[in-house]
Amino acid sequence: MIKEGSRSVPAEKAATESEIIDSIERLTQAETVRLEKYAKYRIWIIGPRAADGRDHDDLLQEAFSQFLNGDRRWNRDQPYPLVLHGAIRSISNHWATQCDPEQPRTESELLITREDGSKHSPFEEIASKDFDPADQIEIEQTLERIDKIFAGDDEALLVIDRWRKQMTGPEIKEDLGLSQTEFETITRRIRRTVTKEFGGYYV
Amino acid sequence: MSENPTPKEQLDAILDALAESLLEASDEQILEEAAEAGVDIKKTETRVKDVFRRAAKAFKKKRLQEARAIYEKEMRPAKKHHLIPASFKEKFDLLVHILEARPQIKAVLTAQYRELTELTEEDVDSCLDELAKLGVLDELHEEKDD
Repeated sequence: MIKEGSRSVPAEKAATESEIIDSIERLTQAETVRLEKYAKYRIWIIGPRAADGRDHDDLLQEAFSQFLNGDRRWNRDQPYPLVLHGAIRSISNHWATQCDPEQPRTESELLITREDGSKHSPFEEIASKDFDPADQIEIEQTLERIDKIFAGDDEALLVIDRWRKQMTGPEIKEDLGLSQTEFETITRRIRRTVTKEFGGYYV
Repeated sequence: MSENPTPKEQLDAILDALAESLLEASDEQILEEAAEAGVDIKKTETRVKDVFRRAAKAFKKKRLQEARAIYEKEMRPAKKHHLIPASFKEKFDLLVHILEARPQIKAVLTAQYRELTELTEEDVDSCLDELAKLGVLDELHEEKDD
């Protein structure tokens, strides 16, 4: 698991401004592709409300800037892309916690079109102030879509089912009796299918 | 691991696992998957590096502006107090007046300069500026008004 770049890195081990800036040109194609994709996933995870108009580019920029500003330190013994991933994750989590679930939304944002074309306002069903029906419906639809696209791939469904139960990689491998290679192969297949199905807008 | 994860927690767990799996994937796999998804790898490289280059440029510009602001603040002559007169004679007379009204200040000053007549115009300016900052000029002005 990656370690976040943080202020706990001793000053003598922290990369200088010029080292941080020079690192840009040393990033490989694979590293830039991975960073962008990772940032897209993080934006997808926190959702549009927490992102508040910010996209994956904003997340990448914020992560890089925090190292330059000295808000985070990069231990030069660690690979820079790895440290950047940690910062991206940490910043997106912070954005998510800053999101106020009670922030008012207009009714037009929440209108849902039924299959018969009629409009439905979730305001009519709101029972709790913390409950956001539009988000809830979108999440459930995404989960159903994931189940649907992997119908017929039992291995993938078993792994997804265990992710949904918040099991870790080692727990899943043990539970399903998978080797590391088998687990990685299934995970890779899921990732590729998700990219194909949701690609563009999300990842 | 919670007992009954909500749909949001379930989706987050799936996406989180997929995001973290990117860190385990080899460079070859990442590039292969990107190409398969129709991603223009060269353009992505340029775009991501440009995001960082812009951030670096903005940081350098901000740093320069801060340095310039500090320099300008330090180099800017202190605003002259409105009670400090223009000519050397008037300034010297004012200083003598202050020292008579505030003997404790005179004691400090004469410890530095044996004779007031040794004071240069620069010394007088400096003394009056300091006294203005300490509020002595305003105090005396108010006393005079009373």
